Amino acid sequence: MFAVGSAKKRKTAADRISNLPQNVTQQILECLPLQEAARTSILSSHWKHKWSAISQLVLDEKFFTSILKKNKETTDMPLVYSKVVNNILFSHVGPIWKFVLFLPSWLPNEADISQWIRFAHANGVKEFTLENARGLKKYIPTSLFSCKDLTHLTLIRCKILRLPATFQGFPCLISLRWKMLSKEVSVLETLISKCPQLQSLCLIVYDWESTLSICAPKLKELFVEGSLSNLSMEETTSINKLALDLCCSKFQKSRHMSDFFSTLLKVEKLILKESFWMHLEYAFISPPTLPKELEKLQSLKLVGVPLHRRFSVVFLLCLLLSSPRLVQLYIEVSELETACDEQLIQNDDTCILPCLQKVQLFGISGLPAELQLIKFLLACSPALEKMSIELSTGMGGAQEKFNFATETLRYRRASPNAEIIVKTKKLFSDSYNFTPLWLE
Amino acid sequence: MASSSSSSLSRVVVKSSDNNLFVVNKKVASQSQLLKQCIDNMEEKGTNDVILIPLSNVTSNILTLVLEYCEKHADFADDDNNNQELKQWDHEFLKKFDYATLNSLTMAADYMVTKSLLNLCCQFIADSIKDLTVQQIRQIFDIKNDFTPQEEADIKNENAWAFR
Repeated sequence: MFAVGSAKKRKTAADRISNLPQNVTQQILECLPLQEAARTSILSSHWKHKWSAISQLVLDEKFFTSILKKNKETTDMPLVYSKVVNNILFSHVGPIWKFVLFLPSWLPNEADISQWIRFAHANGVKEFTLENARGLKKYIPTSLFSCKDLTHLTLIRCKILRLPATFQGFPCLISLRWKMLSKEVSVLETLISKCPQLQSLCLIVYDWESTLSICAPKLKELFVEGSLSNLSMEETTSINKLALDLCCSKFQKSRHMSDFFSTLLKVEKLILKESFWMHLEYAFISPPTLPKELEKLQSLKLVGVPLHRRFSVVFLLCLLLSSPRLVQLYIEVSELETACDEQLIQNDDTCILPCLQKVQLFGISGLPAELQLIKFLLACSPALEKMSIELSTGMGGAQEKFNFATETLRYRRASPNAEIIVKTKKLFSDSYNFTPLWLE
Repeated sequence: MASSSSSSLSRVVVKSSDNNLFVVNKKVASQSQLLKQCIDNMEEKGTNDVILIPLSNVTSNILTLVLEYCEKHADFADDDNNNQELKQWDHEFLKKFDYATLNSLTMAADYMVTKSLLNLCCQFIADSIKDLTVQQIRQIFDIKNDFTPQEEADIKNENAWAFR
């Protein structure tokens, strides 16, 4: 009798948050750090086992640090940590969709790590993140390469000596992120070639001496940060979103630069960030236009452009004139150096940017090159709807801003509908923490 | 000008569980996969009548909120540069509600398959319970503790790593 009564009581006890559908409570638990999620087991009998069914196990650096904090007195941290992870995995019920594993510098027993990876694999893991602690010299366990169902793989500071001879590839992998690799460019190339479905690739690579050749016929998104000798994508022609925060020493040669951009025939969004511009040297001679037009390019974002340098202005013009379908343009000017007074941008009636509708300029301080660029864009864009100009904080007083505004007002506009908005930089303006949406 | 598809509607009518009618722009309605599916199905059939979609699980109060969210997000749908502004708006939007409303809103988002609103609500609820004690969470969400002290101690013991 007692049992029945108690069961009834338990049923009515469910209230508010508890009567949310199972998938919703699970999602809420997945938004919590693992410990907080596990702590909900004590709320009520309804909640007791909920946390052990979440499909994301995030054992990241934060998780590790909190375990460390709680066990300050222990002398055998590797043992404690292994026990905690084992406890979590053994109490888990159901599939594991996403598994994040941080490997601390004193690395727990390697056999344990392999076992954890195999456990995740056996539970159907699709998204795997493996993060090595800073300065860790060890290579990652080969059991990773048997996870054939992976769709997303993220490696942070992971060292791979070579791929196992038996490695068949990741047949379902669509996204690969590998941050901080240096000596592994050839391993990376092989890995990429064994992932036939790969669509998205995000790399932070530092290797001045290597050329990275990407061969991924289905690749749509590419982001590369760091440094390389050269980047080649001859077999990779489907890319529609490309972001580079990369210095390629070979790009100093106009020919290599042209070759590279000639492979981007399908690119719709292009982002070139600081490192790309910073490492171009004065000797760089930009081609006047690219040999093949960027026919599909609609959105161009350029960050950290040194407008005071001749070559970057010429290359900027080269990009604009080679992009007949450009709709949106975003330029953030670098504020590092002083002006040069040379007349770099000549307005000429043959230049036309027929589709350009929206221009956003940031970090403008009224230098001649900037004014020339504004004049040029206004005169050449018959479809322009909006140009917003955010002034740099280093611009000086009200008089200077007024002069700037009066000057820009005078410029002829090819578009009768063009609206010009001049604003001063807000402190902590979001636009300076610029990350493209699709990289998040 | 006639559109190329057999029929194309610009508005739909949505009915709440308490029988109030809401006229909704198609672009706004499409933020909800449930509504979008209904519209697509009707369009495939080639109906030119106004579509009425009854939602038996959502009251007018909550539906008004869901539609307010959808309207804002439909406005920003083509603009990927203002995501910061939108995020800010999202946060302000949810901050206004008590937990009961938030709960109903979450359920409605789940039912109407408005994925981004559901994500937002779940994240918001998770954030708001993150630093609370077990007692506080029970209180806020009206959860009745049906464990004996012994049971409670056992659970703590099982997952000692998670408890302070």
